[in-house]
Formats: sequence, structure tokens, C-alpha cells
Amino acid sequence: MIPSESDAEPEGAGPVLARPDGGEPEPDGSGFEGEASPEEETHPALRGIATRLPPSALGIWVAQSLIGLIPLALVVLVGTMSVRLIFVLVVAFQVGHVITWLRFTWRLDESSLIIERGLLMRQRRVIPRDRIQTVDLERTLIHRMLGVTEVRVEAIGAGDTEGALPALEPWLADRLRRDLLGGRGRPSGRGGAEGASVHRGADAPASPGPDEVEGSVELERISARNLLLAGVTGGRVGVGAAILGLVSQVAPAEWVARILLPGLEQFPDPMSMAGLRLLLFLVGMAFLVGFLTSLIATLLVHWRFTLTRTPSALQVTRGLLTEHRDTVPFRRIQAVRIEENWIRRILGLASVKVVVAGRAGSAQGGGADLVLPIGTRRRAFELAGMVVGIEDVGVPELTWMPDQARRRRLLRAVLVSLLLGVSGAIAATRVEAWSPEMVGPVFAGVSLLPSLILAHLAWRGLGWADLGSHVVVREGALTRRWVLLPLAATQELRTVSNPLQRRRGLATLELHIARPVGVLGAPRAVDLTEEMAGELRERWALRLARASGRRGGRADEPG
Amino acid sequence: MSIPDETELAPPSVPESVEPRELESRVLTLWWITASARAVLISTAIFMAFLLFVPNINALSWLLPVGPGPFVVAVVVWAIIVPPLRFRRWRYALRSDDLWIRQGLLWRSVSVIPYRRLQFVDTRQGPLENLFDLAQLVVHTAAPGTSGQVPGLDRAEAETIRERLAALAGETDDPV
Repeated sequence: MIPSESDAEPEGAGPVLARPDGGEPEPDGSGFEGEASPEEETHPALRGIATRLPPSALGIWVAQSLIGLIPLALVVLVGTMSVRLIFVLVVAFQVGHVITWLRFTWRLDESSLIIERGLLMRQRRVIPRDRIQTVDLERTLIHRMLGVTEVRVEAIGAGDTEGALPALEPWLADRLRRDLLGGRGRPSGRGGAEGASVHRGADAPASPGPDEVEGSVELERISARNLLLAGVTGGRVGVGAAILGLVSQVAPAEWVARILLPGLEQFPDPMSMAGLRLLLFLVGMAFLVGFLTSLIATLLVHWRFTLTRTPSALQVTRGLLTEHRDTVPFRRIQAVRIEENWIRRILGLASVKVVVAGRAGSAQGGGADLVLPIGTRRRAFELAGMVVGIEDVGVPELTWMPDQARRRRLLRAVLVSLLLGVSGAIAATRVEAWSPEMVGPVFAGVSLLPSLILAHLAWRGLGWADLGSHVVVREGALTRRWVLLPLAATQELRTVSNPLQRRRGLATLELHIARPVGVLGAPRAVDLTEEMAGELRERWALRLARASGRRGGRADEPG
Repeated sequence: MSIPDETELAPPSVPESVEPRELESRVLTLWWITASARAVLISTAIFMAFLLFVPNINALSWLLPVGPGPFVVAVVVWAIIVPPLRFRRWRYALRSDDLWIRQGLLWRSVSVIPYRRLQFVDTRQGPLENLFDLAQLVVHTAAPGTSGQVPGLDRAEAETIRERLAALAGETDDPV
């Protein structure tokens, strides 16, 4: 076992703020690279010998479980649980960790990463290199104090992270990452994704080893100011509002109001002026809290966000408390998503995510990895194009969906308003002060304009474009979500239509790609005319089939 | 921005020109059987619901055949007319580059699955299908939730197709 005398720790703790320039990145000081002495290069696990994690892994587990026990300790302080019991629990946990550590080994052979663990239930997981999608390095505060790095290997299959090594020496983690992603990958048949790396240093084949660092180019570094902007305009506002909503569910509004306004004697009638004012105040507070949450979360998660391109992969380094370095090989990228919520659209800003199959932890990125938290729209598209291998996309000009699609949405909006009016009228019969004849029309009338506007925006958000080797589709009323994908990434093309669509001669074209299960739906062009949907399906299927012509002999015609 | 190569569009390759095929007509009988089994189950459930939830069932005993009546009729009619409609809608074609599948009554769909995207190919056979000497062909791609299914193939035919597609799947490029 290599003792982890880590020199990375002080570096890791000291942010790179001290970095003088924004030029070519050297092995940067984010704590992910450690110095490796020559004898360390022949770490036994890399030579195929089953090896335990460094003892500091034990430290991580112990620290994590101690943190987990804090609530329990509070219970003790209050005095409802005996100290002895707590002590026994703590000791039992730690013994468990020691056993886990003793029984956990990993090694790397020519073809696979092999992790074995478990006392009674032995688990042996073999992850073939050519099945690995991404490798992420992560350093929580505890990791940083102990000078180690967690390695997470994602493949397609199990929903979770397929291969996790909770703690390795930083140099070893970095070495392993390069080894896993760099080597043996035969050049992919997907011209597009490979072509993505063409720019500089791409002529060199993706070879394992340290030279990968040399070919790397820093693409983007998000300044604190822009990160702040990302937080201010970010979608996390909703999260904070939701939390506050939940609180107000659990705690009665009256209660919340008492805390916020100690002088308040009695919760005023919500129908009165004072009540209304209080209500508005509470809503305002909700927004404020949501806003601040959004801001802080964005800052913490994306602090010092840096996007780097190596000849074969994209690399994201980020995080204030927990440092991340995520590596996504170009050939694993199935599609790029460019998202503009309405605030960002007004400001001409957008964010970019890449879609990778089999990615765990989808919740955070909505099933995709953020590669640009915020940037100008032009920059977002430039980056997106680079990632999937087309140059000079600009902001693609989309073909809009036919007018039937708009009429369909407008009609739906009217129906929704009517429904609101009717339900309002029904509700009004139960409140004495309200008359249904008044409330119904008011509800319907008030909701009509917003829903019509939304309907129009939803239609306006739709669109598609054919860029030859690539396809663009867009959806979204307030938040516009563009998907730019190489046709070669599609697995199946499907046109679907429901009765309401058919009534207006419309259909939706779905482009099924390999993507994380759950969060994301397949990219789709909603409400094309039926003929167009069919034509695009056939046109793109044909292009996909003939694309690289790698399979010369065609299948026999059906007999 | 590159302009799509228009020569590619020249043959719009209308799917119908590649002689889409119907399912074996035997599958219709099979669908009728399963649909009527389901209809019987649902009707029973409706009767039970009436027995349980209508108060004073004795006083209203005349309601027993009448009340659930419309529902049961609907279920039965559904079971009778839907299978043939579904059957008529079903088409599949093994085109030169891809598998083409048309299906669905209300939610209609046409799927195109390129052979080079096939991960693996199954045939499946339930006990009833066995009785009719039928089999189901299922193809899988790397995209979640996409498995093309063609029910109601002649068993021998299904096996032949499976072998042919499996051979194609063997020589596909790296899908993801």
C-alpha cells in the first residue's frame, strides 16, 4: 500500500484564485493532480494486483458516519437516549467500516476495472474499459482534509454509479482516470463525435498517459461575476420556493406569520386588505428565500467552473466545498442541450448540457452534464457545435411548426380557461359571499389572456432544423430547450400521433437516443405536419443508414 | 452551417413501396381470445363493484342487470371490434436498412429502427402463442424504452428473421 503523504491537500484548500492568467492550463492546482514518483507509477493495482484502498478511505467512512451521528448526539444531549447505547452504536459502526475496508479491493487489468468487496455477500464487479462512459473525480471537504480523491466510474447498466472507489491518492485517481478513458478505445464509427475534437492536437490519437494534458485547451472559465449572474437568472429559484411552500404546508400560515411578524395578534382574514397584504408579503418572502437559495447553491456547486478540452474528452472542474472533475469522452456524447429560461433569453444568455448514456446522479443536471453554466447565446451554440462536431453552427435558424399546431394550442388554452371558470363557479357556490355568476366568468376571463399567451409561446418555442449530419429540435414555452444531436446518435426514429393531432393533420417525430433513463425524454419535433414527420423520418433514417457506409453489404431485401 | 445534401432526399423511400407485411391472421384469433378473457374479468369486476357499492341492493335488485349493463356492453363491444382494427393497422417491413413498424389505433406510431443500431434480438412465445404456432419478435436498441415488438409472426418465420437480424446486430458499430 502506498502511504498517502499527500502534498495535494494544501493546494486543494487554497483555491486557484492565485492563478495569474487565464491561459493554457497546466496541471492545475485544484488538488486533482498529485505528484507521482517513479516507483509510484507501478502501483500494484495498476499492474493487476488486487489492492486495498489507502487507509484514509477508512478515515472518510469514519468521518462520514460521525457526521451522520450528530443528530443522535443531539438526542443524547436532550437526554432521551443513554450515552452508553450511543457509544456502542458508534463503535459498531466503526468496526463495520474496518471490515468493509479490509474486504474492499480493486485492480485494473488490460481490459477491465475490477472491484471486489463485501464480507458475507462477496460482490465482484468487472467493468470493461470499452463500456465506460465517464469517469468523475470528487473531493468533499473530508476528502480534502485527508488528501484523497473519490473516483466514480459510470457505465450503462445499473442505475447507480457502476464503479466507485471512495478514496485514492490524488495522483493515482488521476492516473486511473486517464488510463480508463484514454486507452484501447478504438476510433468510433461516429464521424461526428470524433470530429468534435478536431481543432488542435486532435490529430494525435487519443492515447493514454500524461500527454493528454498537453493537448488540452481551456475552453471556458466562468468568473465569479458570471456565476452570480447564473445564480440570479437560474432555475433553482423554484427549488427555494418549493421548500418554503412545503414549510407553509407543514406549519400553518398563521404560525409562519407570527414568527415573521411578532407584533401580529391575529391572522387577518385573507379576504381583507390587511390579509391580502400579509399574503403578498409572505409570497415575496418565498421568492426572496428561493432566490437566495438559488444563488448560494449555484455558487457552491459551480465555483471556479472550468471547461477544458483534451484531444478525446471534455473535462469540467468545479465546486467550492466539494471539488469535482468530471471527464466525458467526446465519443460518448449523444446530444447537446442548450437551455434558455425566459430571464436568460431576454438577456441573450444560455446554458449548455451534454447528454451521456448511463449517467447516474441525473437529478442534479436533469439527466445531463452541465458544460456551460452560463454564457452568451452565441457562445453556447459555438460550444455545443464543437462538442458534437460541427463547426460554425451559429444560432440555427429553425423551421417553425405549421399554424395548425398553434391553433391546437390556442384552443386548448381556451378550454383550460373555461374549465377554470366552471370550477371557480362551482367553488363559489360554497362561499356565501361569492356568487357563481360573477366568479365563473371572472376566473375564465382572468386566466384566458395568460393561457393564450402561453399557448402562443409554446408554439413559438417549437422548431426543427436539418444541418445535414446533425439535427436540431426545440421545445418549451418559457424555457426553450434546444437539442442538437448528430443523426448518427439516433437509435430509432418514430413518428407518433394522437387523435387530436391527427384531426389537424399533425404528428410528432421522436429521435430516440441512448440517454439516462427517467429524467429526460427523447428529443422530439412536436406537431410537424403528418407528411413532414413521415418524410423527415424516412429522410433521416436513410441518411443514418448510409452515413459512414461502414457496413458495405446490405441485408437482403425481405423475401 | 452545412446544407443537407439534397441528392439524399431524391428517393423519398415511401415505406409502403417496400411491401409492408401484415401479421399472421391467426394472431387475430389469439387477440380475440385474450380480449374476451379480459372482457369477462372486467365485467365481473363491474358486477362486483355494483354489488358492493350500491346500497340497498335488494330493494334495487332490478338494477343489477341494468346498471352495469351499459358498461358490460361497452367492454364486450370493445373486445370484439378492437382486435380486428388493431390487426388491420399493424404492418411491419424488413427494409434494406431498417426495420419498419406501424401500429396503434388511437396513438398511432411508425417506428424505424436501423439494423446497425440493434443491440440484440429476441423471439418470445407464450403458451397461447405456442398453441397457434406464433411467436413475437423483439428488437432492442441502446436507447431506453425502445424495443420494437412484432407480435403474431409465424414461429419459423420469426426464428428466421431473428437469426438474420442477430447476424446484422453482430456487425453493428459501437452504438453509444
